[in-house]
Amino acid sequence: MKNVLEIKDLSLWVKKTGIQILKNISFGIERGEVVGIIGESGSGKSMTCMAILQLLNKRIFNINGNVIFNNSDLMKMGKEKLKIIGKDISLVMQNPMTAFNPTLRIGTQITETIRVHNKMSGKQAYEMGIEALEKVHLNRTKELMHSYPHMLSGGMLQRIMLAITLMLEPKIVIADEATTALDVNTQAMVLEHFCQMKKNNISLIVVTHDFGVIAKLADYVIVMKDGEIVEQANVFDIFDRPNHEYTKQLLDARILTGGR
Amino acid sequence: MFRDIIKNTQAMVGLTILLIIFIFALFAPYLAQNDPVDVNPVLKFKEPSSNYPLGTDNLGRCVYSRLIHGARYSLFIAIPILFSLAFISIILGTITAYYGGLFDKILNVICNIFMAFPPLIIVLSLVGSLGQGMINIAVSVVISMWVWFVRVIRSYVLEEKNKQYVISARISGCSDFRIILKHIMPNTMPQIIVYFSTGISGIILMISGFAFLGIGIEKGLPEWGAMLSDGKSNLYSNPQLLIYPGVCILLTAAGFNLFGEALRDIISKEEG
Amino acid sequence: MIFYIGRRILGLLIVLIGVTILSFIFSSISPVDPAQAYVMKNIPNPTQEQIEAVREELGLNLPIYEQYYNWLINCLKGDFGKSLTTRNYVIEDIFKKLPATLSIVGMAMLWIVLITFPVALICAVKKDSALDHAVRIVSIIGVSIPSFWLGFLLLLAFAVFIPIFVVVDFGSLRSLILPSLTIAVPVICSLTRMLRSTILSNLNKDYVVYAKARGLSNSTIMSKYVLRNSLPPVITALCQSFGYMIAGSAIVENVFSWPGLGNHLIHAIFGRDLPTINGAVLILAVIFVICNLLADLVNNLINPRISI
Repeated sequence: MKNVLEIKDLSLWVKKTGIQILKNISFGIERGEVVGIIGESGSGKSMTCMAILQLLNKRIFNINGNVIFNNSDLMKMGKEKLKIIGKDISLVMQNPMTAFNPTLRIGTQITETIRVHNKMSGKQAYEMGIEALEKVHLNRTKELMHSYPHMLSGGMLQRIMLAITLMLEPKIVIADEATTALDVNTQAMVLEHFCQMKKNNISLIVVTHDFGVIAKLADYVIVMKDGEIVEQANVFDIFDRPNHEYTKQLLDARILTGGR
Repeated sequence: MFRDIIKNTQAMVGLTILLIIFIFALFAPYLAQNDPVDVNPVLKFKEPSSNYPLGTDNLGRCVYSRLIHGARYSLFIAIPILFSLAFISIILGTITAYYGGLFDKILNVICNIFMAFPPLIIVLSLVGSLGQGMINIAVSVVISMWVWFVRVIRSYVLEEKNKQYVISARISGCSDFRIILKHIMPNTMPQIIVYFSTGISGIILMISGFAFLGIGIEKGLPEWGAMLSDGKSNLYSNPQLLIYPGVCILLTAAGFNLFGEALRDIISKEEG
Repeated sequence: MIFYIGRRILGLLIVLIGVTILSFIFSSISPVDPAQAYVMKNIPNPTQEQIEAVREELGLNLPIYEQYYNWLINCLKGDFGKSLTTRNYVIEDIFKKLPATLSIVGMAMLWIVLITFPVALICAVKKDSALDHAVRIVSIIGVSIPSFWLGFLLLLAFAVFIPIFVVVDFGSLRSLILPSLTIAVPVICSLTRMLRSTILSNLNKDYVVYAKARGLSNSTIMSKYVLRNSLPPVITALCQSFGYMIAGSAIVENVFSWPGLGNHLIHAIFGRDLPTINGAVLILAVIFVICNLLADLVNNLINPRISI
């Protein structure tokens, strides 16, 4: 099967200091597949996501490599990449409390996102926003649309973020530690939504340091350390026959801390 | 920290300027070859010569000697003002921030009232009723600025007080006095120095502004602002009489600002 | 929101009462006997009886709190008494001079807004570029420059060497340019630095990353996300500097011989014209308080979090 997204030899340096953050990252993801990226903090997991989404400031970083989506290289695209990022590749952030603009109403932030990617009137976008919020089981949606982010809880904001993602019908969803900052109930809810996405043939890149999440979702696992991929394999192989010393350490640490 | 300051060009440029001006101020009588207030109408508007390195002004006074002596006025008025402000603000700011409560609330209201006046207006109004004179000006400046300083110091201490390490020091039974002296003070000091450093340049500008208006400084004294005011009637014929003292004020204020801003950058880098 | 405005107005009232008390204290700590000063204006060598008569006439023999009360009542009526030098009603003089000052300060505000925002934005986006460094140096010089000196330099440069702007011709728009620039430069420099650093800190916020990840255009992100969130501290500073500039106009008006409120106040100080000084100070303080209130209200509209 052909990969939806293919990352080839992605390398990243900080311009000023010359420090290399990512070293030759390469992997692919198939339609409906879930790729889990695991590693300790500072291993370059989040940076990989940011590089895929073209969110890194080229004034600060030197970026090399290819990010191929639909036969075209995102790295070489100009403005037209904005049609893909957000629409076909969507991001779910780690901390919902800080992910929304505190000075704009939730409704504004939802409808402006819709209207960037679809030609429709403000009213249509509003209806679509309401519908999306209902899909993630939120109540009193009209009130929500009218609220400012600081009036809502982290769990609600996380659902809103999921609603925005689902509403755009992306091919790939990148979840950067999307469950880390949440309480257990909301975590379960978010994971449930991810499973649902997987069933709908959406590909997922799940960044986490929690093997529990990996075990529940991932088909394929990438282990990162110090900006490099030290091991990548099928999820069963990783759990049953870890090759790399570091992977073993991570798995052991999970048992020590009473992980699942 | 020291090493960072020495490595920082901007900080060193600022410090060098300040050092030179301090030397001028301290050794003015030895560096100036003529009496700065010696009026000699025969010699007015003389070209620079070996006797008068920068020429003479409209009353035949040596411009160079006056500029050197001017450093004394700027620094020796501004520094006592800064020290009084520092004394008041560190004590009040620390106590109100650390203990809070009623005293803090009352001070807050007082601050709001004082802050309803732009500092310049308080000084003008006080000088209006107290009358002219250097001490009156200095006292008025302190009265007009103290609340602004207290507010800033208070906010620094408040921020520091809520940090984890202070809380844990408290839990482990450290006395309040010790926490303030050993933990809060050293950690807020860099920020406070930055604020004072940029604050003193504001004070210097303010004092020279008053001198320019003829407020506070007696006419004829070699204060830079007053010299500018003396020179303004000869703006078009002898612009150098205006340019020299202005450059001096600019350099002094810039010296403090350059150093203060560089220090601010160093601190913010250290904190991430 | 209504609760917030109510609380704010209550605080404002307390501040205003404090302001009047403080103004009154400032004016009454004079070591000079005001009754004597008043009489001396008219009679060179007054007798003790003449002074006492005036003291009674001016109500200066009453206890201090009654004096304050009478003064406050008169202030509320807009009656600050008569000027000792011009012999007009203080309030009339002030309102005659105020428009000249407001026109300089208004024009200065225009400069500030027109220059600060684009420059700060470019510097923040192109951080550490040559332009950014140049602006940094210029703005440190700008906040260190004595405004009266800057005024003279501009006069020299433009009025003498490059005579584009008519300086003496009071009232025309062209004559406003130099004084307003003089007064605006220090404010522009400090605000530019401030706005640049708030924009920079906002550029790295999560919500900007998320907005980019949602595919929003750069201009939307800059205006609705970065700039909008950077505004509150700048608006507060902008409104405050409006008050500062009206006060600071005293110096610039002196340089450009501009017949405004600042110049009027300086003349009053030299003439020891206490009623005029008090009136002007009180009105300036009220303007300053109103500016601060406006800043808070605007910020509250932009950022709803502040009201909590």
